[in-house]
Amino acid sequence: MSEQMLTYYLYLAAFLFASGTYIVLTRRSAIFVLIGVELMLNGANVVLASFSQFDPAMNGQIFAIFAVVLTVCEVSIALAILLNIYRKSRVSNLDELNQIGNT
Amino acid sequence: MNLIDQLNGILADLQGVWAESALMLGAIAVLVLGLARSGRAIKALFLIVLIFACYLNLTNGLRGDILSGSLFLSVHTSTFGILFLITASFLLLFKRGDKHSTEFYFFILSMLTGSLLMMKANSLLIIYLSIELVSFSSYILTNFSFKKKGFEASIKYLLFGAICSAIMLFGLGIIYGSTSTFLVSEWNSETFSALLPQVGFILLLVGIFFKISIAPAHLWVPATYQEAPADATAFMSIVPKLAALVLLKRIFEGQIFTSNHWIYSLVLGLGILTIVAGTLGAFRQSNARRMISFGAIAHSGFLLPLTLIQSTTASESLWYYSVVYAIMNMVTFYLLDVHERNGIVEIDDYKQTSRSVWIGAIFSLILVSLVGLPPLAGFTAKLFLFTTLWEGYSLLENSQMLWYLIVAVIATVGSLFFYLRIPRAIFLSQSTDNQSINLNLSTKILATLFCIVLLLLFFAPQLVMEAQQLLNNVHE
Amino acid sequence: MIITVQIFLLMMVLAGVGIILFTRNIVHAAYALCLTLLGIAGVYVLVMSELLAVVQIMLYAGGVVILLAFGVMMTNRLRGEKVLSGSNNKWIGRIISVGVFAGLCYLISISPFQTTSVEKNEDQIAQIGVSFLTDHIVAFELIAFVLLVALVGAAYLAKNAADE
Repeated sequence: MSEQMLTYYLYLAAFLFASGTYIVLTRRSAIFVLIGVELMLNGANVVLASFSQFDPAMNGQIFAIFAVVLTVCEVSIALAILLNIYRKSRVSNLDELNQIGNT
Repeated sequence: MNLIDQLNGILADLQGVWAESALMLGAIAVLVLGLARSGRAIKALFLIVLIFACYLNLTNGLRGDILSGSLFLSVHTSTFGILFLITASFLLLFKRGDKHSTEFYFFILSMLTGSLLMMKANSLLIIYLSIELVSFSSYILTNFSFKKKGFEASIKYLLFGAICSAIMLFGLGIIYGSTSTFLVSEWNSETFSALLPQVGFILLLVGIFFKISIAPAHLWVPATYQEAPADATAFMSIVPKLAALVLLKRIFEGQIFTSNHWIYSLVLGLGILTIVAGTLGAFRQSNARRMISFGAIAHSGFLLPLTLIQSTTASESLWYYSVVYAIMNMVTFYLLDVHERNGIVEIDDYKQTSRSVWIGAIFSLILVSLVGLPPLAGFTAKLFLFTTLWEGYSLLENSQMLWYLIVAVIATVGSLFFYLRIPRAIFLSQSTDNQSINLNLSTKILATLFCIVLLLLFFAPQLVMEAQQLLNNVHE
Repeated sequence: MIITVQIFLLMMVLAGVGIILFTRNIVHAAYALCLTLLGIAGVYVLVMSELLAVVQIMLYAGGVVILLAFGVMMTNRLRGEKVLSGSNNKWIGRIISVGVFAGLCYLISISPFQTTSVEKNEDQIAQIGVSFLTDHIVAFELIAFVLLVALVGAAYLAKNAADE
């Protein structure tokens, strides 16, 4: 694998990360924000995996596997909380959640 | 190295993680016991687990890298470990009904495990995993009021935390790519000479700053501290924050940046911003718990420079400030909880409490200590901080330290005006509809004891330093 | 040959991300995310991380997307209306994300990387398995505990929502 090829994968990772940032910043639905976070995390995992091929111990790949598992945990907790919110108040968008002030 | 040697090496190093293993097993035991019993039995088991972990932590004599560089043990990790375990045991003083108690102590134990490992972490993988473990437990504990506002605070906390951890993971990937190592101990002054790893380091700091609540990653604090149960908040505001500070100190101990490096200046600048944001934010609050939470943000800003300056004074100040901060925050949230149970939530509500003079006086003294006025330990902590900053300024010739010192002094004076709103409401109000609040004797005795400890630490600050020496040498 | 695969995977990822960026419908976004994740799994194979690719397909594409779809159905669908999500701060979002992308690309283009290729290990999965239990033992035990915490937490929150 050449250095040129590696940079292409890193550009792809940067693209995923930036798209995730856009979704996170603009979307109002909590589930959509979670999708954006997934994109950001995948960008990070692509970085880890593409550097891992030059590491005989494959630490990058191992790190990425741990990160995937953690993400699944995070999403499941988030959905449990969202379920509670919908049962209590039938609200779906983040900016309708304004019972407590932000500052 | 063959497999047998590796496994023997792991067995030899296991001593260093016995305390964490005991906490994990204890957490599972709490969960199992919760199927049959509730209330007192759970609390007793929780205390036993803590005492056992304390014993294991004290008798552990290992120092340095262990378990193929995953963890790094030092004087700080062992003494702060004891501080965290003692802090956790104070949670038993809070009044807590039987409902939700099993799971509550389970998540407290898991957060404690995560904090201990975060503090000891040497591998970036362990840093990431332990920060996530602490975060997950905190997200869930924020819900434990099972009210709509609690869910709202916790989903905001979770999304904010998820974004910060994604940013941090990207940074870790970049650092791994440009240094091809995960071990903090292998970093040196050359590691971060190029721009790309420097950016990676900044992204790593985002994740750590989220736990310490340094601006601009402090936005989750007020809502979370307001809506989580008081005992969970007291724990969250102390243990993960101090653990992340110890981790940060460990990272900067490697001399990876000189004091005129732009990252060093950036971190100092964010610390100043945190103090300003915390102090200014507290002025506008009408809710007592929110005001204290902004005060806690300002305290993070005060603690931050102690991790950046490498000197004995800085280490001692960090230890002293941490101990005093833990005591002050624990008792503040305890008293807030006692008042909230009587329906006193807003600052103005405290006008109704003018009859209980004794508890009002104790509460005022604690708040005076949070401000940092003599004759209480909060003053000594601030004094140590200012001394360290001045020393940093004169040794490193870094003019930013001087600015930090000036802002810290001004913020300390400014904090007088918001912390003392509660004593003013208690003592200087002309309210007639005084409701007698329901306080039992044990609350009064406890609060008084804490207050005496704070007074004692003011008159004999060397006790805290000697305790550190003592805790560190028990295993010999 | 490999260039065809690369272009195909790139199209897959770009199409998925494109749909997520421009749709307002959350269900569509969840399935587009599935497409993106499968494409990224292919990328992992190309960078010789086969185990990660398998984990990605099983946990991410299989688990997370289904969780998200369930989340949409159990929440918004309760009211039987279309699951659309509005946006706000569009321009701030565009400026920041384009800035992030440009900044990262600039950094990547100016930085040299060491690309000393290592000998490809035939028995990758066995090697990773061994290192889970030797070099990364703390992380391995820790993540087992994290999974327990997440399981107990999610189940407990969902149960109490049902009770009250």
